[in-house]
Amino acid sequence: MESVVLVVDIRSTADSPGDDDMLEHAIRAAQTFAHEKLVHKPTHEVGLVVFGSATANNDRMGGDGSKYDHVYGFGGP
Amino acid sequence: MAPETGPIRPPAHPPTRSLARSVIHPLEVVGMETLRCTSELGSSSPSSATVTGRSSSGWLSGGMRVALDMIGSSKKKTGKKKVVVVSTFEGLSPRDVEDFKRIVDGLQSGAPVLVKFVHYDARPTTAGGGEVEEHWLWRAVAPYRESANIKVVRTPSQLRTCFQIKETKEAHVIYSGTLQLADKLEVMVKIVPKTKKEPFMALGNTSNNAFDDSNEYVPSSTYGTYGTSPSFGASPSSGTPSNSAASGDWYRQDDIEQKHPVPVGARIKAYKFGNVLLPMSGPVAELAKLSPDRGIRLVGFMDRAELSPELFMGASKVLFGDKASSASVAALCSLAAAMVKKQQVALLRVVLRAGSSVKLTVAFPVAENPAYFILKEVPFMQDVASINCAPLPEPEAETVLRAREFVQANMLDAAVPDLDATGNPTLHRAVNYFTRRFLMSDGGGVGGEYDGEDDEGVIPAEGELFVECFGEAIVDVDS
Repeated sequence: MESVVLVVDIRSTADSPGDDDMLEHAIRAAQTFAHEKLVHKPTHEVGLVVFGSATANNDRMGGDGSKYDHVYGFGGP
Repeated sequence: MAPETGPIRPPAHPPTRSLARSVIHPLEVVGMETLRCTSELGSSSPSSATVTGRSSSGWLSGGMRVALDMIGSSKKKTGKKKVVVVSTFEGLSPRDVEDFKRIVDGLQSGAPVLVKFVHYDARPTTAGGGEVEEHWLWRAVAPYRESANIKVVRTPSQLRTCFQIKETKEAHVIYSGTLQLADKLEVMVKIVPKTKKEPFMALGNTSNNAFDDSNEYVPSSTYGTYGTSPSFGASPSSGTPSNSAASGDWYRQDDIEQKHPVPVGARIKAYKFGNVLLPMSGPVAELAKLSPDRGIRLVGFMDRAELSPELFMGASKVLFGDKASSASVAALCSLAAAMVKKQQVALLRVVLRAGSSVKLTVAFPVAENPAYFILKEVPFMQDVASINCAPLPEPEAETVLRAREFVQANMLDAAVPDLDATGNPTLHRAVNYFTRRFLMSDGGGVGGEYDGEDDEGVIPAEGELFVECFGEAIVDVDS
């Protein structure tokens, strides 16, 4: 049994020069982690916390022209 | 969020109502909601997101506190508990960094929660290819190795595969026993798998049992190959019985209409020996097998250069000294150091279990601290296929020159060939597709086409260069 909380930084690429692929790949890593837990370790607990700000014109995060800052998690009540 | 001081301990009470903690729910096993959350992360504003703050000053430390609260409020009393932070750890406000350091300082040795930092360090290397300057995160975490550690990733592919579900380091021991170096010299060793091919999910064959009396489809609870182990009918000399995979029954080969299944009690196993079947079962069959004793024995040493890579068979394994015997560890370390110095490998006769087959294995020394050996199975003489190819004309010097340029132009970057961090795109696609189908089925019907992108971002870039250079080389040779 394992309980894991992922804390993923989704800040804008503009905030940190040089990490232009960071957002997409960090999200992919989190997705893969959840998928593989489901398949291989179905009894393990997983949580997710995201922090930072995704920029507007970033299509991968919605691209609605605004910024949103958030810290959130998921899980059942 | 105001910085907090002092040690951070998992709280015994439910998540607080402070700025970053008010929306947190307990952890849960991975299910529909988890997959939906991670899927939506990459496509649109997360539906389950709740805005909890507008200040950039508490991003990193706020996220850390939320995660520690979540893990602390888990109702699970046993098992490992981890918090994994993925970030560049750049562009943070001084206040956030200071608050973060306070959290790290509060991590106690022996605490039930292990914090892992995945540092995506995309900073360019210094001029001349030297080491990158030490990051502030590394200095901050260094004193707390028992409760926190850092994994540095420098490429997107490394980042994508930074969460290993099945750690080879935690692989189970498949051999614990002796390695016989000479008649009266044995050392205690253990073997664990180093690599194992990831099994893919597969569709199972449909069984008749999947339909109930009213002919309504009943989903099978198990998947896999349906059928029985191969066995032959009672009268092997009269023909090879056939098997009906759908029913699981076996029939004599001359029973074309398959009206008379051979009862289980009337079947015996047989070897196909030339054109006849040789019935053999029980103790008689065991006599045909070599039943060696369990153990590993050194056959001898050979130069590493004499070993061709095409001979390697099967998965890699790791052999290391059993820490219960310090003398064994010392002996193996000495042996590995000597072999590395002389550029030699060892040939071993390996029997992992009593009665199992004998395997010829090459041991490559790795002179780390402590030293270990990588084991690769090599074939016996009977296993090697001969290849008969018509001789080709010797290539011209110009062709060789162009080929050399082609190779040079396609040399991978030094950071790319990290095979430990190479994700399997086929597996990623399959899992992503299953997830989409899974989520769609919840929304009213299974279906839809996969329109996700292939996880092949690195190779195409090299592929274009490959084609470009190759085409140029061909043109030059032709002209």
